Amino acid sequence: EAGGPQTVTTTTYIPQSYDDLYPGIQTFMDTLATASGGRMACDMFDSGALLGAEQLLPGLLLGVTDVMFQTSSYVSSSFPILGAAELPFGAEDFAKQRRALDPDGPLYALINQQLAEQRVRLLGGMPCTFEYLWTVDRPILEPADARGLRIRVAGEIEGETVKALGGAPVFMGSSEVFEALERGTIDGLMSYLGTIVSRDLQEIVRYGTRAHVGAYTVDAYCRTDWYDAQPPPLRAALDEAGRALYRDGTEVMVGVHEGEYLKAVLEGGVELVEPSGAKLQAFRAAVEPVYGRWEHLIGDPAVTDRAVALINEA
Amino acid sequence: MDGIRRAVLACTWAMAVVAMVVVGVMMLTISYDVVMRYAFVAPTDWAYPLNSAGVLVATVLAVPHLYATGNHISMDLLHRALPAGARRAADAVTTVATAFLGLVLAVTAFHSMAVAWAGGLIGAGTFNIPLWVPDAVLGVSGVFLVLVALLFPATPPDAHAPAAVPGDVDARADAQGVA
Amino acid sequence: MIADGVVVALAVALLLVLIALRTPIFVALGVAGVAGLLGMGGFTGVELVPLALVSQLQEYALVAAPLYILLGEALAVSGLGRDLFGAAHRWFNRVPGGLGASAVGSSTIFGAMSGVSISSVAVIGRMAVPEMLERGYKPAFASGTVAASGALAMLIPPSLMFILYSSVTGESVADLFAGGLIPGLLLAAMMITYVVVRAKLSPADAPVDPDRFTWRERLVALGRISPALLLILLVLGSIYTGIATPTEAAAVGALAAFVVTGAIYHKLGWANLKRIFVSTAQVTAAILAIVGAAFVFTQMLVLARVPDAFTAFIVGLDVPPTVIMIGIMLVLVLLGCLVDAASLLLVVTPILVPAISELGYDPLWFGVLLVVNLEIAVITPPVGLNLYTMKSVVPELDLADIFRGIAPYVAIEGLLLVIMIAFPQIATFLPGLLS
Ligand code: NA
Ligand code: NA
Repeated sequence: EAGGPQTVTTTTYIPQSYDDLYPGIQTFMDTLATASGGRMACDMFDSGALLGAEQLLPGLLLGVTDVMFQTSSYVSSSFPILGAAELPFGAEDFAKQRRALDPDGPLYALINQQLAEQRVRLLGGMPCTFEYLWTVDRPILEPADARGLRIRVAGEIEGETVKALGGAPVFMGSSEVFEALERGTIDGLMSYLGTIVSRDLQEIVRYGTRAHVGAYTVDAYCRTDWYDAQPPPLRAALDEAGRALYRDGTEVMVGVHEGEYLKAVLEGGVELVEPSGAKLQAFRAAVEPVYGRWEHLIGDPAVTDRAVALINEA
Repeated sequence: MDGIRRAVLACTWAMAVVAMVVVGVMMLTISYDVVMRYAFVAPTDWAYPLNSAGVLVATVLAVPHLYATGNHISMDLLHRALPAGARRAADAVTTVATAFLGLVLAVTAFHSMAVAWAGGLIGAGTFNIPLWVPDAVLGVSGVFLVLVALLFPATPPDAHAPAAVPGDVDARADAQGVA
Repeated sequence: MIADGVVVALAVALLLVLIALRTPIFVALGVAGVAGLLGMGGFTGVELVPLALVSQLQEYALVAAPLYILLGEALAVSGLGRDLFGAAHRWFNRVPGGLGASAVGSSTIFGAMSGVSISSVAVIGRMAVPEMLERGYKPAFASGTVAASGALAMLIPPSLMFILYSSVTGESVADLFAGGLIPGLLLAAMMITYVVVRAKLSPADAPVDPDRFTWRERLVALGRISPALLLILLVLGSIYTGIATPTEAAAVGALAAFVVTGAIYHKLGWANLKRIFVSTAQVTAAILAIVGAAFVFTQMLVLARVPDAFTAFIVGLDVPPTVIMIGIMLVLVLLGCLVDAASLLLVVTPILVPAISELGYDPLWFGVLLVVNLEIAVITPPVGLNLYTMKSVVPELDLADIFRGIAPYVAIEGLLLVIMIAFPQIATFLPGLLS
């Protein structure tokens, strides 16, 4: 290489205004620059300017971008192994979910082993705080309350969960959700706190059911061949950047969610309900078919059993 | 030569007919989804992804026939004022440019299709359209764009039939005797 | 390695040359975009082409586009254009320049059924211009009035241009539709005022109409167009009251338009069905091919970071934002002379919107302002689609007459731009009220 640092084309649909997620992305880019001793520099196209959410993965495989930051729900239909971290009531609590998704841990090794067959590699990611069920007209206190509701979801596992609860999953871009709730096109949505606050949905949703109905992760990906072609010190720098995303990015995101965002949602007049006891058990029982559906998508019981076990043991 | 042109035009017309049917189906499926959503509280999970793809399919499949029949939007003011020789040169540039675009489209779309196929890429949601499908439609359209560029070169401007006015679908092909 | 700035300049030059040589605009945009991508990113850069096309053409906001075109075409074959003009004529005949006012009035109502201005010019022009010429109207006055008022279809909802703006910026289609309504009606009123004053001052341009109609005749004429008027009220009403999304209203409205044309006007034979779908596919593909190719071109600009550079430049200027806005409007009017409406909107929006947002302007208001600009673009030579549509539907007209006839309307639309910059509420009031 003559002269300056190697340019790493980096893309995401996430805009800089998402103050829960973007700090982690920024940390990744900063860490990559320092850990590589200035030999790698990210050339970032954010806000979907170069590749929209649906084009990130094809763009990565076609070599248009070297690194992408993507929410798992957009790609877990193509990469069903990512569903492991999205399953309803998968990890007992968020702390365990967070431990399970350590880039240096065994679950990550399993995920990357699976993804390698499709030519991509996870460098690290931020496990997001668990999803809620948000509704406008009435709260969902038990599974029966969700029956017949039109719930906006972003990914396949979420869609299967809504179906299992007796609702109808609806897919639409996040920019359309506010208007759809306003017009009654949908009755609610399944999402984490970030989607609510970034789209000002606390002005319109009235109830939030706080139970582990789903989760997603926001991760940094590259191609395996691109990763393998880097000299060892640069590979180490990429891994270090992934660790920083996981460690520091998640820390910032959790702080923003549990502090500022939760406060904004409550101040917006949203009533949070937290099912417990028999009602919580009823939720767990109702979503059981989602596990079967996910195992069917992966098609290898050995892999699904191992992934579930690694989350439980984390 | 006319036989080939007739065959190509039959193909592009068939693609355009599919595009028309797609628009009609879009109208019917969205109306069906509206009824299911509001009257039966059971929206479909296929109307949204299928209709998004429908716009692409309806557009891309009609593009080659529109070219063959001279119905794309173009600006002929300068072209009108040129002497006959220069006009022929301008038309040759258009032929080369269109064939080049069709070639790029075919090569990149089929490559993208192969990558999407090999990677098992599918759209997000409970109703997933494989990502190779739109790429395949783009690739086919690219191939036919190359063919119509070469077989149906731009004709000199006709004062009574400027481009891009709804109405005479087969104007250019008609002028060349193959409609 | 050539600098990105040079590559972009060459790509823009290639675009303009190809357009001048009568290359279809979508080909010109696509080839210029590909050339720029090759120059900057080599063969990897060109891999963006299918990604850009798929991403833009599968944007859900665009689903409404073919459906509104279908709705307009389904109503157009019913002979509604003639009935509309006939009704307007019966109501406006005592007014100076009555036929001209009728043409603007019927364009306004047709504009509420059609999303594209060329359909409006074709349908109204075919009827109104020969009638006006027969009654001794000057060709320039007659054709200019129809060519300009036909463009009202872009500003008065439903509007394809607002759908395209939404597909690029993510602004709500319903809000944009609401934003265009008052400026559209205001523009129609300004045009009618001009026609009346002009006819009064210069009767040689528009002789007084000798026809007299009874109130009964007027009511019968109104009755003939009432099913279509009702349909439009239902479509727009369901959007504004929040019952339906613009896409749902388009699909159900198109279905209802078939019912109206078939059951009430009895015009839904095979020939008309074919005409409806052929026309719809043609207009849809001709415009959306430009939408897709324009996105290839603008992604090339994004790769070269042109929007970032433009925003930095605009924000760094040491002049009041209003001056910048007026400057932008002047540049757009000039560009509008040379580029067609859809390409202009699609190419400038990704560059301008980040910059004007940074200056504190509302992207919704700017979208409406941009469409007023397009009203000018479609009637300014050398590249003005409505002018050539006018010529094609009334071939005996001289293009020079049409060019002369639209000049006053360009001034009226310029005036509307000034008014909207001074009073942004004209565009933002209704969307604010509805949400
Ligand atoms: Na309109
Ligand atoms: Na113009």
